[in-house]
Amino acid sequence: MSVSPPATALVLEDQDETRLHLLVALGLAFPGIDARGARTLREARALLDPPAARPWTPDLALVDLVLPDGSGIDLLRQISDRPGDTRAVVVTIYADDGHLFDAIAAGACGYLLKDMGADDLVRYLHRLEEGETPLSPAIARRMLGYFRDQPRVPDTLEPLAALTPRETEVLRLIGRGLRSGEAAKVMGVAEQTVAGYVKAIYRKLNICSRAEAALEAARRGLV
Amino acid sequence: MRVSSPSTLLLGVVFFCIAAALTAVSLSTGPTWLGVGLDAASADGPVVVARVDTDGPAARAGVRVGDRLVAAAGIPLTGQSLDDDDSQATQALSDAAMRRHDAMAEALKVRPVRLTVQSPGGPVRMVTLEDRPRPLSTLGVEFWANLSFGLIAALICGWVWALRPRELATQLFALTGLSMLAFTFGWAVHASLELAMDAAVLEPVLWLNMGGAVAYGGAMIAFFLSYPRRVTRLPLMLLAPVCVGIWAALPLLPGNPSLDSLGQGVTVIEMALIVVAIGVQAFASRKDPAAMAATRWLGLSVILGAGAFIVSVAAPASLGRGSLIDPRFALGFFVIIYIGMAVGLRRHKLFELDQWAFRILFYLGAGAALLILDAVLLAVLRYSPEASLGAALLVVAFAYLPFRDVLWRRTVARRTMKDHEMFAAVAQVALTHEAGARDAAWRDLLARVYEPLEIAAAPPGTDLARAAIVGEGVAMSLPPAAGAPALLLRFPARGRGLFGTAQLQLADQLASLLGQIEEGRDAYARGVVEERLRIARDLHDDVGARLLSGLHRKELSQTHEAMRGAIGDLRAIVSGLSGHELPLDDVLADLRHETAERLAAAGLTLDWPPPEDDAPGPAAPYRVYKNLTSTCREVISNAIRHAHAQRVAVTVHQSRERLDMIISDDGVGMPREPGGRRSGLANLQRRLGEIGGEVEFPDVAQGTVVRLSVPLNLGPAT
Repeated sequence: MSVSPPATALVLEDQDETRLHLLVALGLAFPGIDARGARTLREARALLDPPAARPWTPDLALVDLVLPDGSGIDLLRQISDRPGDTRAVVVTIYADDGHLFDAIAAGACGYLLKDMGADDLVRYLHRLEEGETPLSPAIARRMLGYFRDQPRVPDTLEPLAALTPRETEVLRLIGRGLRSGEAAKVMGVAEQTVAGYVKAIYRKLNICSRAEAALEAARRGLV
Repeated sequence: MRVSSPSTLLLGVVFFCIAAALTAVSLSTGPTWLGVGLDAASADGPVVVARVDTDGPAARAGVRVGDRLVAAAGIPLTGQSLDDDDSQATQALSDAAMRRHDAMAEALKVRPVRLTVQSPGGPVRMVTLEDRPRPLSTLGVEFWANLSFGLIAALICGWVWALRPRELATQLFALTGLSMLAFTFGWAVHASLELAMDAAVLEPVLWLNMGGAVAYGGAMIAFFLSYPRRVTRLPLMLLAPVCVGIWAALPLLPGNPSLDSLGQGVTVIEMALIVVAIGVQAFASRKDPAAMAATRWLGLSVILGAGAFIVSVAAPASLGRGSLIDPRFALGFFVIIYIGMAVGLRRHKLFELDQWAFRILFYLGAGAALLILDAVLLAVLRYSPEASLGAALLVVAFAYLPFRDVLWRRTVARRTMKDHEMFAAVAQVALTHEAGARDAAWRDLLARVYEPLEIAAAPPGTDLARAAIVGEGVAMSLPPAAGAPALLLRFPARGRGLFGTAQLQLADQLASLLGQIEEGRDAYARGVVEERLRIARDLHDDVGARLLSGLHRKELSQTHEAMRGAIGDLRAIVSGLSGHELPLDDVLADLRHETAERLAAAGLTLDWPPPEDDAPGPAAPYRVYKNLTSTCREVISNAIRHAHAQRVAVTVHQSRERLDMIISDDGVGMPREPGGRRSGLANLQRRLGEIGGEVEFPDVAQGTVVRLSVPLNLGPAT
């Protein structure tokens, strides 16, 4: 996690106005940032891995989920598989927990809503950059259910895949409508600690979903 | 009249047969045992030893095959002494032979028995026989074979009769079996005869033999006049006794013909009459395919069985030639008749007996296997009775029962498809999308299950509610299904079988399964349509209305707000939340979180005590969720924009029926005069009014208090 403001950013969004809106917000939030826009998955991939040059690793990637040539989820996976430290953030109009849950499992570390005004966007971007990982009650409830119902994965994955009691407590409190600061107060810890828990939960979800994908592939004899 | 259960009756038949067998054995071992088989070339020629039982009394006394038996117990023997039933011209002569027999049997009872024998070229000598009981093995193959023939016939007939004891056809059928047993019983006992038997035993035995044959013919004629169709109203049950009566009275005729020779004649006439009766039956049932099939099968069995007997034994004998096969076993042909009938039961559903006929037989088979094994183990292995019964039980359980299952599947439960295959096939039919293809798939499935030669649309007037057997099992009609009209399946199992209750039940099961899957499919399709309608309605009502109001607003900021609202509605619609019940706790949690975030962003503090526990509360319909949330949002927006408040407090009181929410701030309060901010409040009232809720604005000294009250149990959507 970078504490210094991001210097480079990728914006993948097919609507021209919205892309412009996001690029402007990025410029406002982080003056002097090198932000490049892409309209399609293909364009984004070409930016990340140019044919005759070194791969580009932006500090930040804003990724829309529904794109003309596929799903942004695929790019999120690709980014989290790449070496380097790109923080991927989902930009979506449908902030429903189904879409977001899949995005987080694919490696997203936050989400922005497209209908946010420019001011709101800038504020959210700052908070993301300060290390705050957003977690809505609906997503928290969904995560709780996911980790509770998760089938046993092989032992090697177990320590990473299971939630600690503190992490479970965070999900429970946020699922009941508390903000992370309030949850921290209830648990008697610093807000930063709760933010750390939430980040760990994001990571575990990503690890679990990868383990599941690997298991599924093995089960089908793909690997 | 009370009729016992088939199993009880069948058990009675079995005991009767066992009793008959024991009686035959007892009668045959009764006379003094010599241990020889005798033969004579002519009535006045010498009696020669043709066979000597190994280790029998004669063998032990030195009698050899080829020795002449000059006298027994002092009574001189000629060929005439061996004649008892055969070739007596008159009944008087026959009676005289019987008296000689009786005298010889009496003489042989004197101990010790002495025989006068002469080896070829040797002197006449006297031998004394040991007095020993006759072992069963020396009764001879002819005894056992003929006794078994009769028992097999009696058991098969008894089985059929036990299942339908009150029907004339099965009674007559049983009578043929009983006659056959009498007939072969006499034959068997007579075949075991060495030299002499008490007339008191021999006479009835011979009478049973001939009388049984006569009764058999009579019963068979009566049977074919009554089954499958009853051809005449005459009392057919009396036919066999009448035949026997006539035969028994015939010696009274001039010339005093013997019963024996008369019997031969009567049976030949009866055979001819059986053929006639089969012809009459065939004519009577010519329009009924099932009856015709039964007649054909039964008639063929009888004509083949009896015909083979006549061709190979009776005809050569009457032409003065040697028979084509050993006449001692000729009655085996009659067993063919009964085995043919037993097979016919399965193939042609004779007597309308179905699977359960076999089920009962197999259960009884288990009992019999147990008894026989027990007896064998007792006798052969010399087990103690308990151990032997236990061992027999084990063997029956582990060997017979699986064997019975195999037999059951083979004979009765033959299915062309396994259950799970059939289920999959039915599901495939039901889920075939296009109607024509579904019709074809249904017909294809029926063709695979029943293998009928013909599948056609059922004629008008068919029962449309259920599957039904048509024409005595030649065809089966099926109700309309899978988009196909009512169907008529003809000639099942590639024309080799008939439709029975099992097929009928299966058809009903298939149709009902198909109906259920189709219903599920339709419900699913209806659900899809309803969901689409709901989305369309919500899009129109919510998103459309907001966009319109945005279009008509004058200020850009108001347009923005309207559009954000429209997007919010879109989210709810797309995520499928609308139209469902949501847990109220979750709704409040989301609302609290959102409110807290908004107030924090605007620099206000929120005082909303988080819920205490995780106990699941009531569920709220989506409309409550939507209206409550948007009302609450608007109140909070007012607090942020207009009230200049520092702090917002929310308290929630929730009961099973109602939710009360009090939102207060420490701002400037509401203006008292109408218009301005107050007009926005009418909006709140309208919005909550839609779901039967209320808004109150109690007068307070400082700030604003809004009290929302919402019922949780909504009536039908308006």
